Amino acid sequence: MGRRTRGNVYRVILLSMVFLLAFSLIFPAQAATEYKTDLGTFYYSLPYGVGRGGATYKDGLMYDNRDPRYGYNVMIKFDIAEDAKIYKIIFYGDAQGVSEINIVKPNTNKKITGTVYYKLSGGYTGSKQFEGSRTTASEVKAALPTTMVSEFKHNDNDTYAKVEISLGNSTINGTVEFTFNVYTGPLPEGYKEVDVTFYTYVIVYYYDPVVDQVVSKAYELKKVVTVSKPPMLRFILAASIAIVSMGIVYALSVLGFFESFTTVDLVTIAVLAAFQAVRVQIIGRQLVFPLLDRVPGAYNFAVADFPFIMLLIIAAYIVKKPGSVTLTLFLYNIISEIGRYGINPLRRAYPFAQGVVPDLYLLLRYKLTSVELFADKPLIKGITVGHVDGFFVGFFRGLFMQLSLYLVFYPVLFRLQYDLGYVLIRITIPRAIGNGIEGAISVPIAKKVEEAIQYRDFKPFVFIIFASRVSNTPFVIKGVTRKLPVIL
Amino acid sequence: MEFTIHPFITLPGELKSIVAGVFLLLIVLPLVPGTVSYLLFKILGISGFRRLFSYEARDSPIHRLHPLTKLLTSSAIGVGVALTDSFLGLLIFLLLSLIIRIPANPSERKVRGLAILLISNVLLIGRSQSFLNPAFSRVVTGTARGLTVVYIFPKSLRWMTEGITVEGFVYGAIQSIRVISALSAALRFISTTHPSEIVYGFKTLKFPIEVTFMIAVAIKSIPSILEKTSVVISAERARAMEIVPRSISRNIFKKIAATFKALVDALLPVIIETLREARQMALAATIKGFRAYKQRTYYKEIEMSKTDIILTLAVLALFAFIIAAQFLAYKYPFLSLFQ
Repeated sequence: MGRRTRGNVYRVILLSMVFLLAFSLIFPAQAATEYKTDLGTFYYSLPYGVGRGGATYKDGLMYDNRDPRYGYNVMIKFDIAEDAKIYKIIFYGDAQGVSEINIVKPNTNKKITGTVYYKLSGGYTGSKQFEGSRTTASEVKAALPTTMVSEFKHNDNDTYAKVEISLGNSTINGTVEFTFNVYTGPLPEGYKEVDVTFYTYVIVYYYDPVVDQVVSKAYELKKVVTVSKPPMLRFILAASIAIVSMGIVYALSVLGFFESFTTVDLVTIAVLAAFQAVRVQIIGRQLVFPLLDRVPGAYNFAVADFPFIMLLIIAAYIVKKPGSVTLTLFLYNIISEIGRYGINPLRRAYPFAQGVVPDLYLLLRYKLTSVELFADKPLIKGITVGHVDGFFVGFFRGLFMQLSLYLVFYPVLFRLQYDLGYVLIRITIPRAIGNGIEGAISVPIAKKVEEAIQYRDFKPFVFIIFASRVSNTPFVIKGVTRKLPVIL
Repeated sequence: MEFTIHPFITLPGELKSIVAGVFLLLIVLPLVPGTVSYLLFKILGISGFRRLFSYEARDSPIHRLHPLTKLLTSSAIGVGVALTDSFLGLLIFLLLSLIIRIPANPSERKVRGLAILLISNVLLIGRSQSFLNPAFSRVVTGTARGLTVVYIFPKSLRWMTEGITVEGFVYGAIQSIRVISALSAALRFISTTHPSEIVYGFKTLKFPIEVTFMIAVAIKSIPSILEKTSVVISAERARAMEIVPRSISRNIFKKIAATFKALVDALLPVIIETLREARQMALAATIKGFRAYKQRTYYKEIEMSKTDIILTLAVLALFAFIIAAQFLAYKYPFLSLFQ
């Protein structure tokens, strides 16, 4: 493969990385607008929560013509400062907004809900959920002296959800939040999107030590939300993944990427990917995972992944070419799809997500240091360059695999959402470390395997076989008989 | 319920929370998937799984179809369930994936195995979503208001999850339809298509020749790998190596370590042997002029029959319908079934 072709191949790989990065950035965590005050912090989220399919809404963006059965939740949360002594809070939540066209409507089909998390003097803590109707004000009395009144007032000039919270003579210390629902009408002809500004007024009654009495303070919270036509985001996204990923495969093929792999390389990768599929889908899922994953910590540190990573490292070690990791994973995924997951073009980006970074690591590491990949060169006592390479290949594969799986593929393809704390602390970081360690300890095994199959001495080896067959004399591969007596 | 999950009631506040958290994290939470996997393994066994994931020779209309038609059907169901949100739409895809199995005349064992596998998937996904989906599990500080809370986790576990809800389980069970529809469609594909024919499907889709070749080699290698693994494990067993600990005794960790080592030891000879065979295969392919010319000829050509063409067009129409539904549901509400 010429230098120009190689450059093009690297560009395609880099482009695919940028694409995946952009893909993951399209799913931002829900971020509310924050208002910090002396009495605490307000959080204003619109829309709030998750959609029909379970995907988290993007804050500040609503789509037009929203079915009133679902609507969008508006959530206002108030984290009260520790030293504030608050006796009563009244929220007037804007349910219509101000914009050049009247597009947002209060959803009178849904009730106002909310929760007060309180801490009373004497250290008693608890929470109280409340629910209010739209048309008539209702009073919810708790076991505690709690009074909460919520109503949805509607007249020609003003539409708002009102919630009044007080605990009698006790102060409220903790968090207070409430949600109500709005829905959107269709955007008229000529409008692609429109900005709607929502105002929420909060009156807080608190004890002021300077004047030694309860005083009130009013806050105006402002939230600008864009209402636009539905962008078919998921479909466009899903289709782009499929098209771009397959485009990458075809582009690499046209650019001669596969020419850098000999037939022996291709077969080696194919066989090792088949091994991975057998190991995971047939033996692993049925026999090994149910047993091994029950050992505390084994699942989190991906102990059962060891043979999989070992096979991946063997492939990278034997082939030693950029792209070998991605290609092995790509093939493993296709075989797994045929046999288990179902052929789905939308999954095609998954092996790229986990394989491109380890391949780039190997590429850059070699370019920057000029030391042979997986070399036996000692770095510090007991640790060689090979161990480090193995560690990073395993680590990056684990890191990007879990991130892409839990943050992109599960939510997009299966609408399965997982808590970010669980994903990062319990899954991604330990599993990346586990895969890294497995990668490091796989390198000596890969070395043994390579010695045993003698790919490097390909021609002499063929000649020896040929010569031995002609002369009808047995042959011995130097060094291997001693190292792997069981195998030979 | 409270007592069974909090058996540390006599411990003081924070310590109780930490101990209960560790207990839940390490013992209780893994218990459900562990039990389901164990039961699955007990009921089906390795041979049952192998049967489930292997080709079943039959003379049926589905078996006679062109691999591309079957590949596209499997793919349409996979894409369809990924894009559909409505429960009814998902059910339609699930029914479709199950109905298309009927003409394939699967064996009773295969049907039973599939049913067990699908039900276990529903249970496991429902279980994980009941306490790991933040939309349903943030019952103390977050979004999950007014839901049916089964259990609230101790403070020490709140970084991960806050509670278990019935709604989370139901949500997970409904979403699992996506997984089991795709799984069922995939199993139908491999159980009705001979491994050597699968590659023709990819060839027709104009996959790069190298990729098609690798898929063919990989699929061809699988039975050989299984056979070699079986031989090596049998040989190791004959030498008194205990692959799976038979009893839980004081030295259980040693036994697990021994199992781990035995599996690696069993794997290495198979890898080496298979890679050597693979090298011969590469030699054979090179000798036969593989990649020497851009245009390839094939030993066997599978022609598409009229039925194949009609069905392929129907599947493509289904693809188009699924895609159109994403755009047109905005105007025609009935299409939101597939949106």
